[in-house]
Amino acid sequence: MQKISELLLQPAIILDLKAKEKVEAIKELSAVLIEQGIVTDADEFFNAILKRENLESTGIGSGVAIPHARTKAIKNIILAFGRSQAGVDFSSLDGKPSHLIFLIAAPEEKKSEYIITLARLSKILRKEEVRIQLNQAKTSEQILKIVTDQE
Amino acid sequence: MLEKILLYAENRESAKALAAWTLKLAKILNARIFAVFIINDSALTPQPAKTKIKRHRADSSREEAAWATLYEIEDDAFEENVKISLILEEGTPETKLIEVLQSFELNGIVVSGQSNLDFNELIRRTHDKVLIIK
Repeated sequence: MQKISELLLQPAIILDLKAKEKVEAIKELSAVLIEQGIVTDADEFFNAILKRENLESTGIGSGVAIPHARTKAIKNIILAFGRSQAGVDFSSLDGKPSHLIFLIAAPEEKKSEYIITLARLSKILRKEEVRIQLNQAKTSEQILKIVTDQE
Repeated sequence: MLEKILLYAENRESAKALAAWTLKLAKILNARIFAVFIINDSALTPQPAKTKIKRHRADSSREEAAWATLYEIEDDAFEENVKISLILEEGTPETKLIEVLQSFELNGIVVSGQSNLDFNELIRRTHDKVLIIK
């Protein structure tokens, strides 16, 4: 089972998201994964994430959102990270905008790994010191180091 | 009318069956579920300093297991097209359940009859907004 730090590749880290709202943020993060050539069907991928998001918000509070879905459009679990200075409204239960957004997608048949990855990431992001570090990081290397240090 | 249901999520078989039942109920009622997992810190006994690292690892595993339980319920809810929010809390279960119930103005709490909860206290403090499923 791969670690979060092994799933998160530097090209999939956006230190300054341009998006101002949720769907655009998901589109921006999806685009970096699609550009890597690891998504076999871009529309299916994006729609799967959006379908999950439309059912219920993936904003988990404390400035964090984890849009996620299982989809036929990929062969392995993939992960992208985006940071928004202004914050994006993910309709979190605590009412706060999300500044740290991790997008996770898994193949439909990899449910267990998907659940474990979500659980591990949620646990890491629940720590305030980690969120502070991620918000203050200046480079994608620093982002990766912060995640690596937590595993 | 049950529009917003608090589901008490736990790592036990009876709780999994309860989650499945609650999802079916929510689907029929077009209700939204708030799945709440409470890491019970009152169940921990103080540990001597030499086991701090072990305790940290145990706590970390418990939290990860808690999130995994919540995300499993969420995945099932998605399959059933049921709206669901996930909440992880730490503390005394009865107190935290009531806090969540009140904060989000939920209509009731669904719990397993095999939970180690003080049902009488829960019923009293929620004014009977508890559904205990055996």
